[in-house]
Amino acid sequence: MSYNERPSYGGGGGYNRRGRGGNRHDYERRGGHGHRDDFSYAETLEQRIKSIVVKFSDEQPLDPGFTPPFERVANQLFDNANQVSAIAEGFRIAVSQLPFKAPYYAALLARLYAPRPKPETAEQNGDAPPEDPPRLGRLVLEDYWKGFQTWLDKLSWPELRLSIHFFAHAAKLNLISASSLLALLQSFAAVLEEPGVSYARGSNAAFCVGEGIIRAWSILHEEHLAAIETMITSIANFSDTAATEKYLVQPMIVLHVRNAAPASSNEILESLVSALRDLTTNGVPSYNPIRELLDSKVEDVQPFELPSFLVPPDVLDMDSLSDGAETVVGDKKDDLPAYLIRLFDNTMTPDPTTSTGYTIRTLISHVTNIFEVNRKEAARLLLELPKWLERGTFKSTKPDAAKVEESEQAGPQWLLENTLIETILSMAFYLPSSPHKLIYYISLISELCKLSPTTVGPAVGKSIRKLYTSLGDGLDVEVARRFTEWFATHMSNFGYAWVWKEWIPDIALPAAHPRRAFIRRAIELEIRMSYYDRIVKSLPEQFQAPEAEALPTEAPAITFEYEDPTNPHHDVAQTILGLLRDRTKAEQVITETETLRNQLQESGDARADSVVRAITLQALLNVGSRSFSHLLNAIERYLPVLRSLVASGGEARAEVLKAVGAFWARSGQMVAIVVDKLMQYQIVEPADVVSFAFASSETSHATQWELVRAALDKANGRTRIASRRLAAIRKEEEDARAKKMVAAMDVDASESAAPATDEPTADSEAVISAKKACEVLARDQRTALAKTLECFIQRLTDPAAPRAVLEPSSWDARESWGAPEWHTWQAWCWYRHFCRAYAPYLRAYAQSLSIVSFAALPPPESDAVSALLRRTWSIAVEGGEP
Amino acid sequence: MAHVVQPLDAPSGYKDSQHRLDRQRQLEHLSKSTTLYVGNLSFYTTEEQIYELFSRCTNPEEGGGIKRIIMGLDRNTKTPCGFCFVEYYTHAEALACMRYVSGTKLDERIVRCDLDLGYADGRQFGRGKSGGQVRDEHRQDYDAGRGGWGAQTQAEKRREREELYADVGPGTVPAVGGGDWKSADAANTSTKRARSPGDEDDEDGRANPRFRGDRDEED
Repeated sequence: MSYNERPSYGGGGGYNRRGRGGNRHDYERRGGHGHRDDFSYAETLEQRIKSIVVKFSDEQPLDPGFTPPFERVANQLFDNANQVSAIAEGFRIAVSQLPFKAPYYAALLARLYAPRPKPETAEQNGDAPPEDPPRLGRLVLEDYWKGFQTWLDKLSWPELRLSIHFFAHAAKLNLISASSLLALLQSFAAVLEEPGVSYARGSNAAFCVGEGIIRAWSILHEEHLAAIETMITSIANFSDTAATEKYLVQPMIVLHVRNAAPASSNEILESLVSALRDLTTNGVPSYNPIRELLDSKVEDVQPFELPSFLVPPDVLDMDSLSDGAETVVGDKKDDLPAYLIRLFDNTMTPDPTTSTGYTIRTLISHVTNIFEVNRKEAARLLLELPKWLERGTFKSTKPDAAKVEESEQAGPQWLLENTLIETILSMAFYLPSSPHKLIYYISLISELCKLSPTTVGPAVGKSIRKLYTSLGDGLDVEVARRFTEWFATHMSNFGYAWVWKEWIPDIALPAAHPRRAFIRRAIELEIRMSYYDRIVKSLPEQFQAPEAEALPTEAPAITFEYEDPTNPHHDVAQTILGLLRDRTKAEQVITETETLRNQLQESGDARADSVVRAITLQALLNVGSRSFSHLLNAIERYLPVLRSLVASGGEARAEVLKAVGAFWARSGQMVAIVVDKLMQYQIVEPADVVSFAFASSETSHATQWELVRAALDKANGRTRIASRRLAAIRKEEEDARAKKMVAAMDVDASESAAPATDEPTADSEAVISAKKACEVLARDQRTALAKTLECFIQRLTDPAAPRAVLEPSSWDARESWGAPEWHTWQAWCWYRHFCRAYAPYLRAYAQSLSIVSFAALPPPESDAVSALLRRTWSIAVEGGEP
Repeated sequence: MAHVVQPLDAPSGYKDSQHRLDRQRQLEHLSKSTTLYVGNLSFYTTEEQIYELFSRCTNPEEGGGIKRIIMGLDRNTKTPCGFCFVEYYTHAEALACMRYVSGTKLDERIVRCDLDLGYADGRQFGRGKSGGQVRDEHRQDYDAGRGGWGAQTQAEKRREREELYADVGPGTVPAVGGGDWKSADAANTSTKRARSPGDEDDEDGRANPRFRGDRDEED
C-alpha cells in the first residue's frame, strides 16, 4: 500500500469527498457502512456473528419511523444458535459501545425468545418430541450476565452503567424481572452508604442507580415507589457530601459567595437528583425521547432473575492496604463534582435537570467518551443521534418540503447541534481537568463542523459569543484559558474567519478586562499557529491600531540588546557571539568568558559577573534563534557553558531566566520553549521559573500561568518517573529473588529442608541510587510547590492588591474596575486553580506547607483575604472547611 | 475488548524501504514509538508552528514533552521539503497526536501523522529523485505551499518553455516566466526556511504561497 492510500474507516475517513458539501442526506446514505472495516479481513464465524449483532439496524435511515430488521437479524442468529457466547459477546460490545441503541438490543434479545423450530430429525424418526429447549434469548442473557460480573469484579463503571440501561429496557420487555432489577439497583445504592466512600466510587454508583431508575421508571414506580425514594434520598445525601468541594470547581466564580448556586451551569449529580425528584413528583414527562420498541414485549416466558451481588471494594483501596511501598505522589487524580455549562435556554437545548434532558446529555457524553479513539466516527455518530431517538426530539434540518410536516410533530424540537456543542464544551471545561485532552474536544468539534458546516457552524458561533459575553461576569480563568485555546485552534482549522468586528466596541473596556485579555491571547495563539502578517490581515483595522493593544505592533522576534553598537557591552557580546557561531569548544568558551569577566572587573564594573552571564546567555539564544532545532543544538553543545553560568546558585539562575525574558520579550511562546529546555537540562529549577513567572507582567496572565504550570508539571513529572523507575527496579529484583527461591526450593525438596529463610533484603545499589534520585526530585518538587504557594500568598496579601475585589458591592460595580482590580481577581482565580489542580501533589506536603505559608497571615476571623486563602486551601487539599 | 471502530492511532501500512528490521519487529517498535512522521506540511511552515500544535498533545505531568523536531529537508537545497519528525518523551503523546492532530490543519494545510520507527541520521532528507519527497516528484497539481508544480512537471514545463522561446522572434512580449525558473532554483539554495515567496511565480497569478487558497485535499 502506498503511503497515501490509507484505508478510510467507514464513516470517518476522507471528509473531503463527503463532508464539504455538508448536507445531511449525503452521509445518511453512507451511514450503514459505519463499521464495515472492523471485522472484514479473515473473519472467523465468531467475528461474523459479533459483527451481525454490532451492526444491527445500522442501515436505518435518519427517519426514526423506520422499523429495525428484527426478523432478518434474529433469523441470522437463530441459524447460529450454537454460538451463544459469540452472540452474547456481540451484545456486550454493542451495549457498552453503542449506548444509543440500548432499547434496540433489548428488543432484538426479545426476538431471540421465539420458540425454536423443532429439529426435523426428531420428527422424522418419530421419537417423542423433546422438551422445549431453552430459548436462545435466555441463553444469551445468561451469558451476558457472566460478562457483567467480570465488569463488576473489575469495577468497569462505564460498562456497568450502560449494561444497566440495557437491563432496564429488557425488564420492560418482560425479559428480566422488575424486582431483581430493583435489587440490582439497591446493591449499587448500598455503595452510597459505605463509610468514607470516595467521590469517584460513590458518584459512579449513583449514576448506575439513578439512570437505572429513569430508564425503568415505568415498571418500577407503581410497586416500588418507597424503595425508589429511599435510593433517591441516598443519592441526594451523597451529592450533598461534596457541597463544599463544589466551590472549587464551579465554572462561574463569585469570590465573595461561599456557596453560590452558580448561574448558567448545573452540577451533574445534582441534575440527576433533580431529574429523579421531577419523576417522583410529576410522573413521566409527556415526551420521552427514548424509542421504547415495546411491541417486542415477550409474554409467555419466565423473566430472568438477575442474581444478587455485592459491589466489590475498589482495587486501589486494597492495594494501599497491602502494599507498604512508597506510593507515587499525584498518581491518583482527585474526583470532584463536574458542571455542565449552559449556553442556551431550555427551548433550544434540553434541561439537564429533567429526566429527558439528563438522559440526552449523558448519551452525548457517553458517545464522546467511548469514541475518543476515533473522533471522526464520534462526530458522525453524534450527528446521527436523532435517528435512534423518537421523532421530534430534535428539530429536523431537512429541506423545506418536510419542514411543514415536521413542525406539526410533537416533541420538544431541540437543536441537535447546539446541544452537542454545549455538552462537548462542558466536558472540555470540566475542572480541574477534562476527562480527555482538550485537543480531543477541539478536534471533535472541528469534525462536526466539517460534516455539517451549515448546521454546526452557527452553533459554534453562538457558543463562542455566549462564552465571550460571560468573560468578566465570573467565568473561571482556567475555563477562559481553554476557551481561548479552543477558539484559536478552531479558527486555525477554518481559515481564521471570525467576525471580529462584533467585538470592536469592547476595545473601549479597560485593558485588563477579561474580554480584552481574551482578545489579546486569542490573537497571540493564532499568530503562534500561523504567522503575524496572516493574522493581522484577518483583523479589522480597529484591532490593528496600536492603542487597541490587541496585538503586538511587530511580528515576534528577538531583542538582542547588545547588537546596538552604542551599547557599552557591544564588543564583548560580539566576541562571545563569534565564538559560539564558530562552534568553538565549550571549554574554550568558558575560558574566554572568564577572561572577559576579569577584564570587566578590572575596568571597574562591579556587576561584571552578571553582565557576562546575561551577554553569554543572550548570545547563545541568538545563535539558537533561527529555529527550535537550532536552539536545541546550541543548548546541547554548550551545556558546560550554561552550567558554568549558573554555578553560583539561585541568583545566577534568576538572572539567566531574566535574560531569556528580555531576549524573547516579543515572543511568549519562545520564552516558554527556552524555559522548558533549560528546565529539562537542569540549568534552572522549576522553583526559579515560578518566581520568574510571578515577577513578569500580569497583563498577560495567561502567559504567566503557562510558565507556572510548565514548572510544576516538570517537577511533578520528574518525580513520577523517578518513583516509577524505583518501583520497577524493586519489582524486577523481587521477581528475580522469587525465581531464585523457587529454584532453591526445587533443589531442597528432596532433602525436605525448609525453604531458605527470607534473608533480610538489603537494598541493592540500583535501588539505593534510584531512591536517592527520588528524594532529590521530591525535594525539588516540594520547593516548586512551596514557592508557588508563597508567591500566591505574597501576591494576594500585597498591600497594593485591592481587597475590595472580595466584596459584593465592588464586584457588582466591576464596570469601574481597572488593572489592579482585574489582575487581583485573576490572581485569586489562579490561586483557586493551583489548589484544585495540584491538590494530589500538595497533599503530600500539606502539613509543612500550610504551617510555613499560613502562619504569618492575620487570623482569618478578622481578615477576608486570609480567610479565603485558607478556606480555598483547606477545601482543596485538606478535604473540608477549615 | 475489540472496539466497534478502528482507532485512529493505529500505524499505517507504510514500510520504510530502507529499514533493516522485518515487518514484525517494526510493528513491535511502533507499539512503543515516541516519534511521529508528519506529512503534507507547507515548505514554509516553521518548527515553532509545529511545536505549538504538537505541544497540545504533551503530558508534562507524566514526564513527557516535545523532545525534538527534525525538519525534513530537500537533499540538494537543504531547505524544508514538506515533512518532519516530532519526537516526544512518551509513546502516549505520539498516540494522542494520531488521534487528535492527524487530519487537522497546521498552517492551513491538513497534515497527516504516522507513528515512526524513530529518527535515524539521513532520514531528514527527501528521497525523491530531485531532492524533495517522492510524492512531490510526480505530483500533477499545482501546490503553492510545496514549491508549485511537482518536480517532474516542473522539469517538463521548463523544457517546453525553452523550446517555445527558441522560436520566439524579436519584438514579442517577453514572458514573465522564463527567466524565473532558473532564478527560483538559485533562490532555493540561498534561503533557509524563508518566509518570503522564494519559489517560482506562476502564470495564473497565484504567486505568493502565503496566500494559497483553501487546500483541503489530503493526498
